[in-house]
Amino acid sequence: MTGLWGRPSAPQPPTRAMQTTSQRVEAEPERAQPALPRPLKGAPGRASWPVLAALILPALLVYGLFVIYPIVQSLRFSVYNWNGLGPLVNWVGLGNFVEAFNSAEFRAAVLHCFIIAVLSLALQLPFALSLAVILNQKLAGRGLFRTMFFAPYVLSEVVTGVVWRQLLRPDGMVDRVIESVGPLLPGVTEEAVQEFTRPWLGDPEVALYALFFVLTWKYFGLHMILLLAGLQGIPSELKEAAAIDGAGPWQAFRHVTLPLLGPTIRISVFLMIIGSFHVFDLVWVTTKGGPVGATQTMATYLIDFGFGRSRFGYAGAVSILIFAISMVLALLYQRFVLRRDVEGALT
Amino acid sequence: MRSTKLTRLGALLAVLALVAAACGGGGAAGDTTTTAAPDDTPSTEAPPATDAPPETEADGDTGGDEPEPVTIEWWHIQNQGAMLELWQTLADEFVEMNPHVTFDIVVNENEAFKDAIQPRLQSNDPPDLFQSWGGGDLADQVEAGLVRDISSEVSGWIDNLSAGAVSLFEVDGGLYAVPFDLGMVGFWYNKELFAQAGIDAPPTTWDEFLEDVQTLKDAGITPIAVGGQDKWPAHFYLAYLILRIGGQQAIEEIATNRDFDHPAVIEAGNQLQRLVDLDPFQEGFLASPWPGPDGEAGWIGTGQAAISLMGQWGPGEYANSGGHGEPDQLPSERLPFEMSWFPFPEVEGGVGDLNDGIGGGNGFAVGADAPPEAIEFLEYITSVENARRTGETGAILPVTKGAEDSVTEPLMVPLLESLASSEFVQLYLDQYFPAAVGEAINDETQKLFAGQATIEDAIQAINAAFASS
Repeated sequence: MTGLWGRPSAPQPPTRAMQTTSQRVEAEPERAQPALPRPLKGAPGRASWPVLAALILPALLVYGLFVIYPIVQSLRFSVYNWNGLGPLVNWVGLGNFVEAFNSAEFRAAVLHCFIIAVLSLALQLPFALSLAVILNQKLAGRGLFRTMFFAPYVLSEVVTGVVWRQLLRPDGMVDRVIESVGPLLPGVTEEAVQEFTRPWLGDPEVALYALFFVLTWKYFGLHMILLLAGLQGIPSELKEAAAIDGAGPWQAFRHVTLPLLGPTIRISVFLMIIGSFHVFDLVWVTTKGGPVGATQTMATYLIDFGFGRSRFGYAGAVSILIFAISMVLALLYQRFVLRRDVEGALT
Repeated sequence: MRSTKLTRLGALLAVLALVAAACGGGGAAGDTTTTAAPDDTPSTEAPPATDAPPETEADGDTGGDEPEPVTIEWWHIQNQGAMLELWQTLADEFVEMNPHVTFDIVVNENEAFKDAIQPRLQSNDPPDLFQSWGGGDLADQVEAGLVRDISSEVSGWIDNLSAGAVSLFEVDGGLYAVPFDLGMVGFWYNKELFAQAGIDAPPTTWDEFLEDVQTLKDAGITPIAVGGQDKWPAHFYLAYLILRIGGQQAIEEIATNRDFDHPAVIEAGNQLQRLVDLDPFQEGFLASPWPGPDGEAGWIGTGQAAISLMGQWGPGEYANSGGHGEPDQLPSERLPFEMSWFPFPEVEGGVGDLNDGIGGGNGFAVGADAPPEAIEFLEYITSVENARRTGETGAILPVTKGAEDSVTEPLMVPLLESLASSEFVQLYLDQYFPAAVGEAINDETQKLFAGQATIEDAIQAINAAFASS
């Protein structure tokens, strides 16, 4: 259920703002005033109502059937205690919502999503940005590197999960590499290495961070490509002008490149936040939310505590909460951050 | 141009990745015929018999008093080895005798089945025959009218089956499924690792068991493998301790009062804590599932750990996960080391009997609208001759009277002896109680194993699940 309607807010803003900066600059003067419906009416050829209906209805039907209807159904289920079989009889009002709020596991799942979001912004984004900047230089083999870094994104999350599960298992490849490389480093003893290796996915204290590492491995390529595209949209004249004015590489990056990359970065940030709230496949394949709930995300919590326990009313309530959390964050982000881009700001 | 090169390389890599993914999927499904979703089922429709091709289309031509063609949709979870083949063979034979019948067989792995069956039950469209363990789930299905009371339809032959096994599928006096397998959970152990540690006889008391665990550990052997990620393998420990300490009576009291706060549970928690304190489990056991190379079965199957608390399906999966032999061989022939079985030991001061067990059976529930042929098919597969064939695979412990001795797998002998002398078999606790309670028991056991909860915390959480279900 959530898979279908938990996402709808995500795709829209990116497509809009992913128009390259230059296009938007040109488009700007033309669409100064009119509200959205106007251009349709005034457009050349003037679409008639039957044509409009024929074009919109199929999409509207699909949207209604697979997005609106499930949301309404979830809302209905969410006020019942219902095991999925038989009629809805056991009305509990807001009981399911209260239970979710009081559930330490659900609060932990929300927290884990926020941790992944914060780590993504703090580590994954700068990493992707620096790679993008490096690969934007003239560099031997840069096409190869770009493809290589992008490749993990092409893999399905399930394949990624199965592969990394084997790599991270006790005495798996990751441990072996650490054991053989570690002692070669200055000041690192055998004991310290032994101390450091562990069942990465089986230790409640590190499992979430191990998963974040895998998520980064999978997604940094996407953000690198997005940022690279943004970098290539920056006219080189600007950098040349900065150089003539005596700006060093850092100053040029800080005061020319970074501001002009703003719209792209904001999109990356948006995708990272939304992505963090929807992490499911990878977790399900590697840890199933364990050990002892250490990697439970909102989506795995929903499956585990709702579907896994035949508590479909409760699942409805939890999915409504997840929807609300994602929706509020997406709207806030659009309202306060992406608005600049929608209004056509350059930086 | 760089960009075209990038595109081409990207496309190449994408294709490679797709191929890799496809191969991965193929490898997993290659020897199992597993299908998760009913929609894209490679419905293993029974092939026409050799001498009289029973094509359903052909029936129309013959006309006359041919019975109406029916399709039996059958969901089972024997997705490996000899049993997978035998079910198909039995279906083919049944079609040969009843040419108007077609089978639509859907095979799922255990965990996948539980997910796949849900939408079918919710849409009020249960398969005609489907895997059932009885317990809380079956009671829910009965209440929702999804399964049929077949007691009158099977009255002519149900007495051929063990009454204990049949009773697992009775709800409020009605019978809703027919059992084909009944077993018991106990300790499977690697005799060679025991010998290596200098242990010559399996323990009979919990204290001895803990000593042996320590002895194994001192000998540098991982004493116990447990599928901590799947949780239910861990719950066997708690369930058995409760049964050994409080006996049948304790479990009945818990179920009647819907209250886990029982002296036997608290004592079981304390005894479990003694085991956990020894740190006896494989490295990373909390991330280990039951099957698979990094699972409990893999640790046992590769001889890396000595003991596993598991049901009668254990040895087959040890051999699978350890990568030994061919699926149509008996597990004892496949495993490269000698294994044996001992019952869960008695706990000092406990009232439970050594031979009473935590166990359960497999049965096929009958969907509310199943055709009468589905019941005839159940009669066919549980007949003495055919039950003996299931027993000969070594993967099933048949419940038909007179088929017990068909189990030639030597590993099963001690288990069958114990089962024969047991007066009480308690269904696995996670199946016995409603799903929410069962899962809470599993969750809390995992926390106890991880040292992240006390038994008092666990009781509180399980009772909360009782309140919500």
